[in-house]
Amino acid sequence: MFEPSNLLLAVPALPLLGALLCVAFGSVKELRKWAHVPAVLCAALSCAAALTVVSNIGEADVHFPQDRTGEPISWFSVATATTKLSADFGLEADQLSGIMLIGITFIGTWIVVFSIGYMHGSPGYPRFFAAVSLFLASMTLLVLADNFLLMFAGWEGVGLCSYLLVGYWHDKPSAAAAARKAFLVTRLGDVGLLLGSFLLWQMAGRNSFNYQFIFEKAAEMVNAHPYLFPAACLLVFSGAVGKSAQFPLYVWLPDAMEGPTPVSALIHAATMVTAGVYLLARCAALFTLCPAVQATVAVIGAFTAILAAYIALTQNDLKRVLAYSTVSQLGFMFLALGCAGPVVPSFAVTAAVFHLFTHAFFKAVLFLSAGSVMHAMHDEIDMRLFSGLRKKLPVTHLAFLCGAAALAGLPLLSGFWSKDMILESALEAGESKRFGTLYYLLFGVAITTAAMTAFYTFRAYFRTFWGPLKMPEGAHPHETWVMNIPLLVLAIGALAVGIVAEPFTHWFSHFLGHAKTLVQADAGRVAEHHLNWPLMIGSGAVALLGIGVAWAMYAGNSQSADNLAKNLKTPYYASLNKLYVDEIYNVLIVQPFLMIAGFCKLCEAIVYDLVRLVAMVPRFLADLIRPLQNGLVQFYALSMAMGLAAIVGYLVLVAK
Amino acid sequence: MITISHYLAVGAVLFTLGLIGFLTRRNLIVMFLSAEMMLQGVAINFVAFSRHHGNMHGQVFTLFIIAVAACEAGIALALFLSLYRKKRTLDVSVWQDLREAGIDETTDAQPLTTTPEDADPILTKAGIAPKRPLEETNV
Amino acid sequence: MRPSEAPLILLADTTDNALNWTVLTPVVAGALAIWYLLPSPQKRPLFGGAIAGVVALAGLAGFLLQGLGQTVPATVEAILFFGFAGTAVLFAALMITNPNPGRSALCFAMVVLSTCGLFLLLAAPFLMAATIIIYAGAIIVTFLFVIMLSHQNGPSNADLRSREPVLAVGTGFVLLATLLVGLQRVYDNRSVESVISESIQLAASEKVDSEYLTVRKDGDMGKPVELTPRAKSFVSRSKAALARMKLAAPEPGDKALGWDIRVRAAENAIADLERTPFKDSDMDAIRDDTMTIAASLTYLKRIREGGIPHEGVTLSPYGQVRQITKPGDNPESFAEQPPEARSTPVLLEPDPDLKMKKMPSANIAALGRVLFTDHLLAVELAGTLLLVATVGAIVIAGGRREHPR
Repeated sequence: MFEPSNLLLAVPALPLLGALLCVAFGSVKELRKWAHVPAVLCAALSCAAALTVVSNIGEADVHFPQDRTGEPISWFSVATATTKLSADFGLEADQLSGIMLIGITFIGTWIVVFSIGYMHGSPGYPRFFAAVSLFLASMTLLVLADNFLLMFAGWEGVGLCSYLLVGYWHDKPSAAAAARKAFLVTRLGDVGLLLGSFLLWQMAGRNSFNYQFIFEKAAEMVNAHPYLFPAACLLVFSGAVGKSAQFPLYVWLPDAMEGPTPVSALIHAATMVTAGVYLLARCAALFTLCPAVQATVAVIGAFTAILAAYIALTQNDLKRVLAYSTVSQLGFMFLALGCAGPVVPSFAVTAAVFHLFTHAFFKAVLFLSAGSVMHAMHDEIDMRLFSGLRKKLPVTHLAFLCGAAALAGLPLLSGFWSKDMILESALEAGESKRFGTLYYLLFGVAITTAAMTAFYTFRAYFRTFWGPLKMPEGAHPHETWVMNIPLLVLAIGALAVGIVAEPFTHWFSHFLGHAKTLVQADAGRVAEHHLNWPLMIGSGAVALLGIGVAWAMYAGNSQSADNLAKNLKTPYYASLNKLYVDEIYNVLIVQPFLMIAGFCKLCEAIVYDLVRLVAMVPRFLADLIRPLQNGLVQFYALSMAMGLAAIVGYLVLVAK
Repeated sequence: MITISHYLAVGAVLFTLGLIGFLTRRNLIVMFLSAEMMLQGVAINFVAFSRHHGNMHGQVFTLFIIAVAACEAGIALALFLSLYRKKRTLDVSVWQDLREAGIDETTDAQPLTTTPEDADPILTKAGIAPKRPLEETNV
Repeated sequence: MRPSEAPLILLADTTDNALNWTVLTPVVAGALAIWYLLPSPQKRPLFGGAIAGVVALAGLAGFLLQGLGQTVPATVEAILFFGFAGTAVLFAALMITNPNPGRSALCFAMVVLSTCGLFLLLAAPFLMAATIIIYAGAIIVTFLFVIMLSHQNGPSNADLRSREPVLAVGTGFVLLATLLVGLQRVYDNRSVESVISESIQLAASEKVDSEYLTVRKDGDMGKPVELTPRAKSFVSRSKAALARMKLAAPEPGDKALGWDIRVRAAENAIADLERTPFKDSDMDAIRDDTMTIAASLTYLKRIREGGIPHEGVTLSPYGQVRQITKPGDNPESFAEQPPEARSTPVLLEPDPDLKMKKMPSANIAALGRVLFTDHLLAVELAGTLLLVATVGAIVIAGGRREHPR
């Protein structure tokens, strides 16, 4: 019963059960306000199961079904005369999945607890918890799947839940539009992922979608298909780009902030958006074989990082600042992933996953704090409307400060260590022969971005919690324990998880380095773990510089910031208007599609009107005789008698 | 000699007049009476054939007609009462809700002002006796 | 009866013309009268309707007297019949034309009473009593109560109007005309009778009447026979009479009745006559043919009028029971005969001794016996139906107390 293998199945199954129970609770009126109970219980149990499973990952991975030599559990299979496509249901927890599982279930549980307070009294309360539980089930399925197809099922499941939760307030037009945008934009990448998966399946001999099976054939595939293989990798990467909001498909994530804040924290900061990072880490064995693809990944990551950071500099919406910051941090992770190859893959991938892990904590705490602020400020999130809240919301202030410091990369905090590893891998990659200069450039970009990150994070912090006390109409600042406890727990995580896990013990990288995909990618190379003191001092200084500038500009009055904005109008407005990316997309993509759609609509209207014209004929005929049906009983009887008289009269009098 | 054909002719006339009454008159009760008159015409036919064939089956049939007519009368009266309670009239044209959607209601051109010159005798309504106020006895 | 002796009958001859004055008069006048008298927003003087009504009643009487081919002697039965029938029709017309529903109900009571008189004439005293008790006694009185409860201010707007009077009256009277014409077709056999009597006359005479005699000139030898107009008329009327007999036959093709044999014999005889020049030398052939025609038509007519019993044993109109076949003198030769000949029916005459004497007193007992033997199940079903109707009426009408307004 409590075999690790069965517990592995319980990890996605429990939240699924929770989702069903939430739906059941929602259908009973008296139970609606208790709909959080199954969600919290199942999430907590799932977390416990996940921790047990991870503690059992040693030399051997945990599998479901346990016996791998037996017949696999078939999900579905399609057979033609020559080929058989069989999709199997199999779960596998290795070190990489384990790290992801801990992040997902632990942070997810606390966020569900936070939601009890945040969503209290909101219409559709059970719907929220059902969707969140379903999300947890899909996300755990995504990371536990041992093959591409099952992973894709989870991948689409989280997309669906994201859609449902972003559009949670579906009667709000902006929320509905944001949900649709999120779904459609990520869908572009998903198509690439599916195509890439099938391309890999084909190149690997059309036998199995299993990761292990495909990775073992990676070297053969590169030799056999020198161009097709990188193309497949790029297609898989496009899926990651969509899901993890990288340029050019990042535009959905800031809009996704229309959803409830716990959703932003859980899905759009801590877990779902990191699915792309997980995917590339999982496929490190493939990607390291294509240096050009890796360079592309790194470039896109770095470009996204600085682009989003630049936009985040001037945003006034607290949640949007955090959203762009998420995009930016994800860019960091991709930069690290792109460095695998030039540097020892296990080191670069560990950097990315480590940043993913710490980022999940501090971004969750930041979002939840923002949610707490929003809850207190009567659903108002524009930083221009409030300030000086540190006295009114002491716990929130503390949690936000922890998260902001960690995100800014303040020395010794978790963000500092993980970002440091990324910078280090970029720097190290610069020493490689092939794309060395490029990686040096990317290092420069990254360190600039780090400074900007520190600046905009503390800009948001100072504007919200410092300065004169200002609140919008109708705000009544309050904090409840059900929201505070998750904040504090996650804040502690944000502060401590970095220093505990990696820099001195190297526990994290040792643990992750044993993942099979990384062992294969390393190909015998051994990562050196050392503390790069100049880099650490430099990045710490950069972070302090950013914080200092923010303090100088926003801690007191923001006169200097306004002056700066007036002097630098063009860059200021470019940043404020998100570099006009949405507008460019609108002109280049949306409008042409709308024109095609309009043409189709015109064609349809013609056909439709033709059909209607045909339908008009019987309608017109019916209109002629409809008045006969006048509802008068006597008229009906008269019609009957007239018919009788006509027939009998004809037969007797006329026909003889 | 009065043969069966004479009776059949009379039955036919009664049947036709009943039919016309059913089709034209708008009072539910008169319509019902007209239908009963059609049945009378048919009953004459049956009895005449019974006589013609010299057996009793026609008369038996007429007896059943009377039985069915009695049932019909009971049900019809009950229906009329409940219909009358709803709309306070016995006009059959009031009930035309089953007409095709969008067709206007059939109404009379100009309402007639009826003179109550030949009013029927009025019966007081039977029912629960009204409560009388208790008189104070000053003894 | 010779046609020359009855000019009225010629007028009423229905063989060629379906709609004739005996039908048209009551129908047209009656339609006019009913349309005129039906309640209408336009006040019409009563006078015009009354005249049309009287004409219609007179026309109906004319139809009954002349249109059905029966001579009606002025017996007590006839007088009573016309009295009851006239009252019934008159009050039926009044019932449907009176705007006051209360008076309509009373008129209907009169219709029921007159109908009961007709029942009595038809030897159905039990039905008379039952109808009076149930209709006049129960139903109409209940209806009068409903009318009085609901119509407290005289005739209402609806009672003073009619729904589609022209169409309804037209439909009704077209139907009536159809029914009357049908009755004429079936029961007016005067043209057949005239053919029978003419053929008997032809057969009885010593030599051919000059009107039928075909005079052959020299040189006509090779030409087909040319009949005189009188002879032609006789042949064509014979054909028509036969066709009329074939129309609406009770059991066409019934071998037991010998229907087909008679029809075929008459057809052959007529065809023979058509080919035969009416000459003195052919008198024997003519006599044979005309006798065949007369006998066949008489026989067919009797079958149609119910005078020939069916299937061995039957009740004649006056209650006689007779055997059809008789073995004759030699039973063995009878057995050798074909079945058609064996079953040759015997023409029956009403038994003067039995004539209607026992009927009234035996009626109720006979009705009871039939009810509780042949129709027992139906009686039980009718009783159940009455019970169900009682329950239904109570449920429909009695459920709610009327709320005072």
